Amino acid sequence: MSATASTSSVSQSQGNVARLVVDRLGRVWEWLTEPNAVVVGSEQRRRARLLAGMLVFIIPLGFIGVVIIPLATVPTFQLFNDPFVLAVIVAEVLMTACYILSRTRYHATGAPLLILTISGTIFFGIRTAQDPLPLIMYLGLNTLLASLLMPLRTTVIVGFLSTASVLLPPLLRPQGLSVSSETNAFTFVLITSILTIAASDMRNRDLHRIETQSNELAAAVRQAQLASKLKDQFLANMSHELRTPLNAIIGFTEVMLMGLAGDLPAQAKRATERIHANSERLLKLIDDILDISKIEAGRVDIHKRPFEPAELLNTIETSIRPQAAKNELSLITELDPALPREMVGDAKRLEQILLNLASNAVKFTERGSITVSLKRLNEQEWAVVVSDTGIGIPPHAQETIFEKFRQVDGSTRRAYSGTGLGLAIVRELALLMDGNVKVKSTLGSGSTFTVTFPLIVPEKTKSVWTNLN
Amino acid sequence: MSEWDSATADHILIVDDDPDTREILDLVLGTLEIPVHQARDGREALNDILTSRPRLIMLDLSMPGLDGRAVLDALRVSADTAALPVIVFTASPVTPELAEQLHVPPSRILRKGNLSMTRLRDIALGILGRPFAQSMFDTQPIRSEDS
Repeated sequence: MSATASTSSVSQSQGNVARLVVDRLGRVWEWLTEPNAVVVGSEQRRRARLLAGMLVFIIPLGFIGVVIIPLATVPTFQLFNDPFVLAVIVAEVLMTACYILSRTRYHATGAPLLILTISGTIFFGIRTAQDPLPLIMYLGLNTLLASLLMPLRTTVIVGFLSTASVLLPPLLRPQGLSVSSETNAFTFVLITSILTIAASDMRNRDLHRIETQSNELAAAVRQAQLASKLKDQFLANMSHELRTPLNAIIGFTEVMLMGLAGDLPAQAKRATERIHANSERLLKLIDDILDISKIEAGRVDIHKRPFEPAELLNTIETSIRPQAAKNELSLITELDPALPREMVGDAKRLEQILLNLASNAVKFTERGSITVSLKRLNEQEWAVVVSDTGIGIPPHAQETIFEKFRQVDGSTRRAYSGTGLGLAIVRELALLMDGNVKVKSTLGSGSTFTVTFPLIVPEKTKSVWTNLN
Repeated sequence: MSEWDSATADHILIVDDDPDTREILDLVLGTLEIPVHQARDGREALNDILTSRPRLIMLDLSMPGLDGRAVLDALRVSADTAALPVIVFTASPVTPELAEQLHVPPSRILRKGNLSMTRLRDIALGILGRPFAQSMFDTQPIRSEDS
């Protein structure tokens, strides 16, 4: 166990180092190529960044290839004697200017300057080299560079000029290049240019399409966000608007039942009681519908903080005891002494789960008892268990009762009041808290609902708790 | 609504923009045999608090103009008014976060519709029945001469 742990931690730390290196390199790269802030437009910025990025590689490579390597390997090499080396050094200076330009708002002038510099160097090489043919081939490079750094129309012009320049007699035939070599070079540069321009055109179209699509997507996302915000607002407003008149109805019926609006005849009192009970049921329904729609929209936050299981159980007992007493049921609460005194979780949501389960139990139990217990299952889990001696749930219904608006069958809905949302809320809330709901039931003798949760102990009490064990 | 009279300075102040809620609270708290004042918004509430001295404030949160939060903030400006017992009576769900935002103990925030009026009356009676100066902020007690 400990061996595996240490191996995994080593590989993890190697991974961390690699990630750190990549991260640092990425930052250096950003620092070297980040376009000037005044350059706007994704395509403009991309070109500026590409130009800077290319030069970051080309400048040192040219320097190494033409100066450092010959100095180190050719004993007779003298820097300023070879005219081609001098040309490359001039080109290096010009390319450094291109790099500086690429980091300014004038980055667009960097690309033509780079192409001119490279062309000039190639032409110079052609004039001085023993065998100019390989260098002529490099003229194709211009079109490639143009396709990467310039708009399509400019790329076509550069491609045309590069290809045509192969045929320029004074440039290319100082040493009397053979006609077949010249044809080869011409064909090569022509094909390279055509392919590059075609590829560049296709890429531009793709980029354009992707950009259009991503703009459309971004617009759609913005619209969806706005719509969901409006929906949230609507739900919140609706909740408030529905509750206000309902609160008035409930309040005034209570005022009447308290005898504050004069004495009520017995029948009027019964009717008022029914109004009151139904209004409360409607209020509960509104709350449940809002709860379930919030949960489904992923807009319920779980606030994990320390709470005392004993206090939670106490709250449930206070709320459920009157209901149980009304139905002449005994209410038993059990707190497992093995549970820590303090745990971490969302006490409000746990309370909601327990209240839903317990009032369900009261609703479906005619005689006997309701037991609410908080138990420690093992090192990692604890559970709330609510069991009753009620009518029970037939096996075929044990899955569907957690769906919305499901009670065991249509007739039970009339017999047992309720929103039909309680268990759906319990399940959704339990899932949000990494919990798990199970039901065990025997028809006619009762049901047991168990919701298990991961056991989390607050940091400050953890050491005490491990010592106790 | 009862007239304020300097001889019987203490009264209950109901602050809510909804006339139904004001009337229900007036009827229920009227049984405590203490004068009840009504205010339709934060401005009227502060006027009442400045001219007389309520023994208990039932405060709604969302009101047009000066809302309940603004009233709570205004009360905290002076130690005198900060000591007044307030019950926040709101339509919003009561969460630990709300209590923290308002700096009011959760037990003093009641949600409309979620508790019976009998219970509300008991809670009010519990606060009024204590020695007069017991406040929600546990600052210095107010002497009746102050009002």
